[in-house]
Amino acid sequence: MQYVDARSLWVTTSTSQSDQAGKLPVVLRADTSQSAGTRRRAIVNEAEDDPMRVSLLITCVVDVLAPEVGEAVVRTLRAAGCTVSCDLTQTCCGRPAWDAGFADEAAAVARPTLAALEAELDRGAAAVVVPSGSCAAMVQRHWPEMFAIAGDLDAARRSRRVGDRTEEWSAFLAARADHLPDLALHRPRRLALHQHCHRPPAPTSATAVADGPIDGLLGRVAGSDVVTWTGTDRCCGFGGAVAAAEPTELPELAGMGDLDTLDDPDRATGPDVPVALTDEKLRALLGVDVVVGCDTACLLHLRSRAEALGTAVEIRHLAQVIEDALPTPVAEVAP
Amino acid sequence: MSPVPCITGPSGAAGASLPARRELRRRPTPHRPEGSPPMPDADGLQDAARGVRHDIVADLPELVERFADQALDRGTHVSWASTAAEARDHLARVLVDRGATHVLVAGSPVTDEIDVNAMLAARGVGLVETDLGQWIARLADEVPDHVMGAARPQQRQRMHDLFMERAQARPFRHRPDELVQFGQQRRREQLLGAEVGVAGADLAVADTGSVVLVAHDGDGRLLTALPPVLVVVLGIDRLAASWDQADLLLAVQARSATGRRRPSATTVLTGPRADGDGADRWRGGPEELHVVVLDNGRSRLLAQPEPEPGAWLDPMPPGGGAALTGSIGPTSPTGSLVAEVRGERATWRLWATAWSDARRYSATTRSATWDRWVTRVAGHLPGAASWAPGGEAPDVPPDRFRDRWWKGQV
Repeated sequence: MQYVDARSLWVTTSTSQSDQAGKLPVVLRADTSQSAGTRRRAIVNEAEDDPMRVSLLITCVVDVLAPEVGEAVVRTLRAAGCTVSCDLTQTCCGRPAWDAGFADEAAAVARPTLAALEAELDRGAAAVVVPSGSCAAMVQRHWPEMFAIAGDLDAARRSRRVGDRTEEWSAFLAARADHLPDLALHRPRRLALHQHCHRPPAPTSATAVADGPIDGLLGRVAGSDVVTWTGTDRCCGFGGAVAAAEPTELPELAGMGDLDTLDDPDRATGPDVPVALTDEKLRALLGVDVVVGCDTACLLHLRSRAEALGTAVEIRHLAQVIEDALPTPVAEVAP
Repeated sequence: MSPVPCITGPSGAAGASLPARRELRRRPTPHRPEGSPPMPDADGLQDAARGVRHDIVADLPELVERFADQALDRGTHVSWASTAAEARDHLARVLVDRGATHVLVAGSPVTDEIDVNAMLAARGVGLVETDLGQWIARLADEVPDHVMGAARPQQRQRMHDLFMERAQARPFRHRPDELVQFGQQRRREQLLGAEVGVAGADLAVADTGSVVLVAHDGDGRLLTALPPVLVVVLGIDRLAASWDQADLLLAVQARSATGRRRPSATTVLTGPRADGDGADRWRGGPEELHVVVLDNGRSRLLAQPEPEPGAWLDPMPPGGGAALTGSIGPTSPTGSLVAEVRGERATWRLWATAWSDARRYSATTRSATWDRWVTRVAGHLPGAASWAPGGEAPDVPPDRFRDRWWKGQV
């Protein structure tokens, strides 16, 4: 049975401590010790050889729908003194099917990506960098679980190694920010941050959202004025498969300004969830030139609603902003 | 079949009726203070809870037995119900034994699952809800969409109308404080007369045969103090092996649901009231405690690859995901959920076939084929009409990242 497999994975990871009876369950200690923070420090500490070799998990969304984000990611990494490689036998991390509850299908799609990233680590890459928080979380956190549920314990174990070496792009770059040249935008811009739900954690969890890597990186960009935005850490509304699975109901209603009119009992239906969340977020923008985030799927959704609402705001990946702020174009090097 | 208690994943939220969703959207976060910082070490705890749930699910048959042995040892009446009907029968037997005419019910997903309210109505037994919101939902003849805030989708005016029409209220204004005051007064008169209490267990601990009730409002406590007989319905998915596990799961549940460190009122029942010394020292609680251990398809679903355990009984922390923050639809019986899952699975299989190989991935993501292919796959997902409602699917650039990489443009 599938769930037995999942369990044996957890037991395997914690048997070394199983004799300490009467204390916390062993699983607890085994797992909390592997927090994302520990992993990130490990990656950066090993990275002091220069130039650092990193491999890209480019993600299907960036690959197909936003290749310019991928280019910006590569240029910013190179600007931070990294050699960038990308094994194109990768496909997708499997997140869409996993979110929908289909572990077997998700694992089937993730398998070639796991193999590609493993091969990159074998070839000497020090880290895998992902320009999307949700895909990074998939690799770091959900792959072992997903492969185990799908009955592939071998892949589950191997995926832990890859997960431990994987880092979301902004978290990775923020940790290497000292290698970056001086950053300055030619044209000063007022920016609002979209803190996506899968953003990397701030250094200590008690600190505010604003201490995370996105803010840290932008703090280095001269000419960027980060504007307070009440919608900053609200969900973009895309919510993975939710945006696709929610039925469309009277989209024209989404444009109305006064949310209290929703109380009108004569109105049979209102805007659906993804649209309403997005629009509420966008309407809270005030005097902003660019909305900046690090998860391309969120940004595409925000952009589609911004266009529908006629909001005159650019929506860009942070990598694009930093690319703009680089002093001179980084030398174009063929892979 | 009855609604399953815990549908995780995005599909869970789709169960709420549209006006309900609209109302829920207007009331963004019920209990979590605006702008509150994330709970310390939330990630580590959730990972740990997930691991614990994996262990629990794997050991379930043994845990059920251990729980029953321990609970029986401590004087609890334990009965096994394979189906919702069997659970109702056990409950009915207790009611008949006690000649109960008034029952106090703390509504929960599992009591809704076995349809306690309809069963009581059919037997002509008076019913009092401990939870104001649940009571309001019942006045409205609705199964609550939200576990924590059952009345959240109700608009004020409608609540007032309900009280006037169905609870014989004297005329009053529809101000929130007056609405609450009326509800509390009306129900307190009824609370004292109940002979039997019914609740759903939020957690049970196999090592000690204990059941744990997490009260969402203060009246939940009355349930364990007032009626001389208490029947607790325990879905087998709520079992924990030890108190270490239970401790963690309760903490994660509270954090996920309300952002608190601990639930506001947690009641542990380890056997009925006792007045003895030593090992059998004084305990509070009802004079007679019954636990109905309910399977109702859970073990069958766990033993079968289809639907995935992940589709409904994901080894998630209780209260994580849609279990508490999402909704349980009034019309989501297991039957239709399974049918929907099967249809959806065919679509994901198609996707997995294409993207489990880099060449096929490449073939399907070329701009020339992308639109057609995405339409084909997404069009099969339940309810999916487009990339995102109210917005256009993004244009597909002629060159993908991988094309530019190969051409040496990156």
